[in-house]
Amino acid sequence: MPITSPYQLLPFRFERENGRALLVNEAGQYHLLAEEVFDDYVSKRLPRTSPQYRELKSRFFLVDFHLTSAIEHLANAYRTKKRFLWDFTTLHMLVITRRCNQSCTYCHASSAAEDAGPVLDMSVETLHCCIESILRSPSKALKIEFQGGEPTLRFDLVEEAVRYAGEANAKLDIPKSLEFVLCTNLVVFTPRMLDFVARHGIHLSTSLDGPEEIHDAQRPSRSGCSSHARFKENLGIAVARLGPGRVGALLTITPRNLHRLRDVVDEYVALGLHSIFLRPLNPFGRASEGMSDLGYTTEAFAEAYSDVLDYIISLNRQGMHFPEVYTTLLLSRILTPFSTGFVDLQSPAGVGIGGVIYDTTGDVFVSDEGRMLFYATGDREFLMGNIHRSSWMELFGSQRLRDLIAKSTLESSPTCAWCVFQSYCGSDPVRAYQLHGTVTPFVPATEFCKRQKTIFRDIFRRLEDADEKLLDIFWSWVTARDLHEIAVLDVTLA
Amino acid sequence: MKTIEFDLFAYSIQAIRRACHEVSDSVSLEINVIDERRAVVSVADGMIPDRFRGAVLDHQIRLDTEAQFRTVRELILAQAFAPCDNLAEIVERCQ
Repeated sequence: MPITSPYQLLPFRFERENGRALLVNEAGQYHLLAEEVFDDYVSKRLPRTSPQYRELKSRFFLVDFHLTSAIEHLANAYRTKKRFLWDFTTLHMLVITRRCNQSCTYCHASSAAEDAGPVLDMSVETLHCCIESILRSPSKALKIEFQGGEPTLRFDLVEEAVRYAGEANAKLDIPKSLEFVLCTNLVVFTPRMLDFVARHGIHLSTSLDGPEEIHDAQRPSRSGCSSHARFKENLGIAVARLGPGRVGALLTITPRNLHRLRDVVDEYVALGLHSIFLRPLNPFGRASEGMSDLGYTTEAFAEAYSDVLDYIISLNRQGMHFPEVYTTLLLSRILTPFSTGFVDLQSPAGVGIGGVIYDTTGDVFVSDEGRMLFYATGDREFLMGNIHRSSWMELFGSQRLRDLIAKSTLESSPTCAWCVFQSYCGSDPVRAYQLHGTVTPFVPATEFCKRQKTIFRDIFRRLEDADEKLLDIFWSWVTARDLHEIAVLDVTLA
Repeated sequence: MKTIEFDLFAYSIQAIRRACHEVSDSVSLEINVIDERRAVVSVADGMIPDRFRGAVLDHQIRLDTEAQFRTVRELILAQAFAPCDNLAEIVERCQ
């Protein structure tokens, strides 16, 4: 083949910005090119001897001789990226009770008062039916998450669920790997509960919205009293007993903490938490009613996100291992070939096939947001069926669910189909329906798309400008290792 | 209103439509094909013509490159979900 002979382009998507072209191929590998080099590349004028040619070839953006091998490689990589589809439904959320001892200003779950009565709790019979259904999932590893309301108000049901699931699982021909997560506000968390959680390897997922004044303003108890002091005490005890790896916290960002995210990070660090998830407000439940007070613009969120990410990176530069969870998820998709199914951000969407939620009544919804919508408006759009009346195939194999999943697939969605960030992004049809009245909105106009693109561009800017230490920090987040281990690896590989 | 003219020998109507579609939530646009060589897009004053031309050019590149690697992309997806033993044979037939 002569030096200048044409090569074959392999599938890619691109975007130009600031004199550079970002290319991402079907396997999610990326490459940045100067615009003039990009023009040469697509016009097939790149000399075979140029370094750009070799880089593009090594990253599977072009091929000269071995097309079959390139297709096999990209197919393997694509299959690996979509591995979460093979797992089917791994996350099963049980609403133990709809009652709660807190009255959060943004409560997504439209929780009822603590004294609302047992009619809002799941019955033991329903609980058993749910667990039997969960164990029918083809996935080898299942995560059962106890949600509410506040599930510690009926901790006896949590104990029963763990016991029953353990016994039923042991009877299976091939028992599954079970993991339990208790979502709790930690306001009431007795030593007996902690013993049970520790004994059964249960993970805790809690909520922390910032320093005391912010946390209490957003997450008051039903009586209006402060909840932060008890939360802080119980969190300390839980972290000490379980270790920080088994205790995580979710942050909900509102105008109250949007411009104090550095203080929020300091609070997380001070309380012994080892990561933070910068989560924007979801438009469900009480939050959707109060969007005029609780909402903020995408631009304001993106600016605050970028600023606090600078701060988090600076803490990591000082030697602290403290990842931001959402950035870590996106970096995993950008930097590694591995599957990172995340029910709120995957294509096809995780509705029903990634996660599913069982309400106290046995109603089964495609996602937590689907049941939130039902609680708030009575809309049954995302109801899959009822555990007492629907067969497993009726729940998980329905045409309705198939249609929803097909409509959530970015690869066949106008504008997403050619978006350069498609390999790393996902869709949330429930959120789209809540905000736009359709599961297939005009995506470029959505705040979700604008926020995602801003965050992706921010990450790629950081990757492009990164020094060795920042790359090590990102790899330490992606691989969940301490920074010094990554530095040792660097030296070893060099 | 502004008008932006495109040479249909250089740009396909599909590339122009894609670019219009992407901004259609915020700007009112109208596409008129004048003759076999010319199309004119009328846009509201807020639109920056150079940026729109750039968007059309990028969509034309996408359409041209997608046409080149469409078969390869389909083979990658097919091989990812239902691997076959005679891929080399199929590739040879497609070339």
